Amino acid sequence: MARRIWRRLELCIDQLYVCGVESLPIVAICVTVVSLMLVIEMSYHIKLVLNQHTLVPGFSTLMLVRELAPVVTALLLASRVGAAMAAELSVMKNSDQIDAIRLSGVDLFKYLVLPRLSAVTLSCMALTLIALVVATLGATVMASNRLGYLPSEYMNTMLAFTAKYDILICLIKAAVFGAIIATVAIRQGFKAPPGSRSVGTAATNAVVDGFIGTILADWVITYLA
Amino acid sequence: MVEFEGLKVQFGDKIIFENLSLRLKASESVIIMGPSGTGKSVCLRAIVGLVAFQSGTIRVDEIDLESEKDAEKIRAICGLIFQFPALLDSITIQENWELAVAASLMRGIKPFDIQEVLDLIALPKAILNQYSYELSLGHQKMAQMARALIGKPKYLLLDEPTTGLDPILTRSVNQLTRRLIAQVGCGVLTVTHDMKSALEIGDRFYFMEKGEWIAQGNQESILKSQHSLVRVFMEDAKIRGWAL
Amino acid sequence: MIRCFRNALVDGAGMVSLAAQCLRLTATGRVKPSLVAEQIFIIGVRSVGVTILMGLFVGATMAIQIEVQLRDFGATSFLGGLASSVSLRNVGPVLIGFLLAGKVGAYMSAEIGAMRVSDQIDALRCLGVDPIGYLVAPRFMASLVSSVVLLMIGLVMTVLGGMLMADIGLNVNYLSYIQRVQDLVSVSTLCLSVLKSLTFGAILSAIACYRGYNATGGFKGVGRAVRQTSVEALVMILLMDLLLSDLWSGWVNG
Repeated sequence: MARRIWRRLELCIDQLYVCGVESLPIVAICVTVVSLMLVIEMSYHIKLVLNQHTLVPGFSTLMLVRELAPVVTALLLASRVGAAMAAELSVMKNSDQIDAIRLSGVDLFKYLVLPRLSAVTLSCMALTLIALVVATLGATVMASNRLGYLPSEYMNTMLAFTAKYDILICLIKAAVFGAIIATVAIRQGFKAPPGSRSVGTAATNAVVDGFIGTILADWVITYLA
Repeated sequence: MVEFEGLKVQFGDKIIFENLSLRLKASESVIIMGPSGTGKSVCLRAIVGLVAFQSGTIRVDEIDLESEKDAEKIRAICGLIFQFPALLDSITIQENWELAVAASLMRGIKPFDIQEVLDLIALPKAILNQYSYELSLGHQKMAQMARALIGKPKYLLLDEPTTGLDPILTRSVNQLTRRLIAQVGCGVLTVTHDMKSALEIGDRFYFMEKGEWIAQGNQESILKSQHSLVRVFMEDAKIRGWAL
Repeated sequence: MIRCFRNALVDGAGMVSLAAQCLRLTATGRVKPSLVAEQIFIIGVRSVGVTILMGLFVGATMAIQIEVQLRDFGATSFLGGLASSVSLRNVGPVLIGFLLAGKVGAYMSAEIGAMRVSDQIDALRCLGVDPIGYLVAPRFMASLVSSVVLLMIGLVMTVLGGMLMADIGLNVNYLSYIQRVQDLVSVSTLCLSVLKSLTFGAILSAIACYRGYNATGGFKGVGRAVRQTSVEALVMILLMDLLLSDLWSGWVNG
């Protein structure tokens, strides 16, 4: 019994490494870039409306936490992990590996689907959080350079504005997006018709449908929140 | 004459072959044989400059292959037929051939027209309006061959022309090749592991293993060869019904 | 690490040079317009529906987010202007750019990559036809034109989506929404949007065509090219977004 659990964990950890750890640098860089952009843009916009700088840390952090960090992380994961997973699964399907697994009596869902699904969902959450931390550090640096904030001042204002509720929303979004991306990728992989051309199509469709699913889910969650 | 001497081709760290030499004259048929993946196709690609070579010389009819311009001149007189038919699949067969016609005209060669080519390879007229992926592999290979012949090349480089074809089509391809050599005077360099066809159309043979020639010579000397690799190919031909 | 950087530079230079070649061939009239038009039709029809859909929802989401933040300050009357401005300047170009990198970019690199690994490109070279002029340039131009147009359509949709969301869900009358848009969305914002659309379109087309053209290793290579296109296009879009925003605000303000 314990052996079975360990084996399932092993599969999951394997997938986690491929999705999560290998994607970390890119995700961190991208979310940081987004946060830097937010500092610049928010200072422009706030000047439009309220003519002062004091709200920049709050607005930009909130936008990052509630919206852009989970979405950008999810979209990056969809491109890297979603495409790869769809391609891998459609190749497995074409080479009859999936039928072979079925015939040997192993439950496809527990063996193939569940590890991937949970790995992507967990990675998405973890990556979003880590990227968020790195990004806010970056934003602090940017703000102190551009807007004359003291780093500590900036961080304090940021933390004051960000409620636990916002971070919860961020995590929920990341989890949902991760699940959507994995589901889309797995479905595209499984339903790929025979022929090598369809491998590429499956991967592309996985990415695009993952994007669409993420954006729609984003709207739904934002609306409900 | 097509010849290369002391040729070395390397992809990254992997040396495909080094110090390889070969000669092909007009109206002659030379066969390169050997196990899969030894770099036989690379020879053909190197001759037309699709693959860079690290040392040695390649010469076709007094043109030394040293630059892209030389490659272009060589391509005008050497037709290369790829192992997997490289017809453009976004346009019909007729449009593929028309592209070859236009390209030949730009090179200053008077090409065959579509009807002449169709007669040459004896395929039904219906294929003209089809796309390459709608044809069987055999017809695709014939259509590809036709495209190469449009420019009236002096030399033909064939990469596994009969692999994957049924015996009837194989015979057609071999007959066409023999006609081209005998009547038109093409020099044909064929890479294949179809021993039966090779013995039907080949004058001289080169056997490659692990990047080296392990046997060379005309039909008689090959048939008498005691090298283990050559014997394996002979056995294969015997099974296919060639009377040896 | 150094090698990674060096490869990135080499690839980047390759992409720029390929794009430049395509543009030069088009400008000197060596690219058939009918081929370009055909490709634009194929790409456009495939992607216009999704782009409109995405635009609407991105705009709607932004409207909600901004409304929440403005509500804390009692400044919700600014919703129309602020939401549209944010959508048009940043979130819109980036997210719709991402979508197009996935649809248009991946499609392009898959097509050109498949042609590369099935030797069609080499076959053209043997015939004496320039594969870049015949195959790549029409697709590059089609991809460029389509992505730019689609991006702009998407951006318009974000404004529309925000307006609909505000009217239906957030109790902000659509007329006052539009009014605020006119107040707060400046000409410079519109210029920045257009500039970003052009840049992102060019970036994803160049990356897609380059990766497709240089795909190696059979159908696995095509998959690799597509994946590289998606990821690289996303990263470059984000970086250029930052760069353009930074330069633009510097230029406008000082």
